[in-house]
Amino acid sequence: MERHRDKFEEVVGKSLDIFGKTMYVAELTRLEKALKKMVLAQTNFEILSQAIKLPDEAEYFFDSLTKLPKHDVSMLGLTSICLECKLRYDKNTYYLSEKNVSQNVNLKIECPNCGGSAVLHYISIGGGGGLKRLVVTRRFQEAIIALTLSELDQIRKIYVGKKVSAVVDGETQKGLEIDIAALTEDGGLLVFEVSTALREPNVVERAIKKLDFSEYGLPFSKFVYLAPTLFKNYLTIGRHGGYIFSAKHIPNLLKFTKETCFNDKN
Amino acid sequence: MVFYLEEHQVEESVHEGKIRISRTKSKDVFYPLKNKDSLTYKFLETVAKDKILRQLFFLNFDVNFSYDQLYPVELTFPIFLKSQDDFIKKTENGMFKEKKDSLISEVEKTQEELERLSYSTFVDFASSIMADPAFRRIYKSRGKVHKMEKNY
Repeated sequence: MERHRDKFEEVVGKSLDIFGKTMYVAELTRLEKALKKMVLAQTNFEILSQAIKLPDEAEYFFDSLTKLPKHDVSMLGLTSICLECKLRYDKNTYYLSEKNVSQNVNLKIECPNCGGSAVLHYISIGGGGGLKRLVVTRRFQEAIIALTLSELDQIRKIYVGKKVSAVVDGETQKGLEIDIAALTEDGGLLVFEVSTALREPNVVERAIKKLDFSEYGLPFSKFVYLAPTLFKNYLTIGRHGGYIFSAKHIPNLLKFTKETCFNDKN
Repeated sequence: MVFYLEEHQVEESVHEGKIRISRTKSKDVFYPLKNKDSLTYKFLETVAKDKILRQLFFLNFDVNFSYDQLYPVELTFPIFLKSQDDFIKKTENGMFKEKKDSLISEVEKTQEELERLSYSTFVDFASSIMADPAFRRIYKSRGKVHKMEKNY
C-alpha cells in the first residue's frame, strides 16, 4: 500500500476535482432546465390568472395548495429557482429552495437573493395508484369537471367516460364515447367534452368536429367543449346549443353552465 | 354520479326517447372511484370543490412515475407568480440571450471535461494497479484457482 501512496493521493486529488465539477454541473444544469421551462411557466401563469389575480391574490393560491397534503390525500413538494440572479445580476449563486410541505404553503414572489421576480416555481403533487391510472388514461380532468357539475341541483345523474347510443324504435344506434353525459332533472341530456389542448384554432376545429352527432342521432340538449384556452368569452358553435368554455370558465363552471345550459343567469 | 358502471350497460330516458349507456375499455380506471371514501375520490373531491385547484390541474405539467407505494405518480407544474413576458423576451432575443447561451455552452463544456477527467483518472489508476507485480501475481494465481475449480 505504501508504495502506491503517491498514486493514491493523486487519484484522491483528481476525485475531489471530479466531485467539485459534478456539483457545479448539477447546479448549472438545474438552472438550464428551468430556463427551458420558462415559456411554459408563463403560459401556466396566464391560465391560473383566469382564476385569481396574480401576484396580488397569491395568498389564496397558497391556501388552496395547503389543502392538498391534508388527510394524506397527496404529497406536495415545492422547488423555487430564481432565473434573474445569474442572468440579470451576475450573482455567483442563484436562489434555490426545495421543500416538502405539509402545511402553510408560501412561495416567494420576489427573490430573496437578488430582488428579481423571475422566480420559477415547480409545484409537485404526488398521488396514489388511482390517480396514476386517471393521469395515464387522461381521465383526470374530466373526473374533476364531472364532480364539480354534480353540485348543480338541475343535474340528476352524471356518467363519466361512457359510450352513449341513441335507442330508436327499440334499436340501439351506433354509439360514441362521451367524457361527461349529464342527465338533467327536466329530462335533458348535456354532453361535456373536456380537453387540455391550448392551441386556439385547434380547439374550435376539434369542438365543431365533436359536436357533429348527426351520425349517431344523439338526442342531446346542450353541448359544452371545455379547454384551457385564453378566450375572453365562451363561444357559441353549431345551431343546436353548442359552447366552447375556456380557462376563464373553469373556476366559475357552475355559473356558466347554469347560464348556457339552463338559461339561468342568477 | 357514475364513474364505474356495475352493469355492462343501462338505459336512461331523456326528452326525445331513450339512450343506452355502456362501459368502455377504460372502465377499470374508474374502479377506485366506486368508493367515496377512497383516497383517489377524496383527492378529486378536494380539487373539484376548490376553484383554484381545479384551474391548476388544467395547466401544463410533467408526469413522473416512481416505485413509491404511497405516491407512485408525481405531477410537476412549472409556474411564475408574476408575469415574465419581458424577461422571457430579453432571454430569448434580447440582452440576456448571450448570457443564457454562454451558460448552456458552459454546462456542455464542463460535462465533457468531467467525462474526460473521470475516464483518465480511471485509466491512470487501473494501469498503475495492473503494473504492480504483486497484483499480477495475485491475479495469475486467481486464474489457476479458477481453472482448477472448472476442471474439478
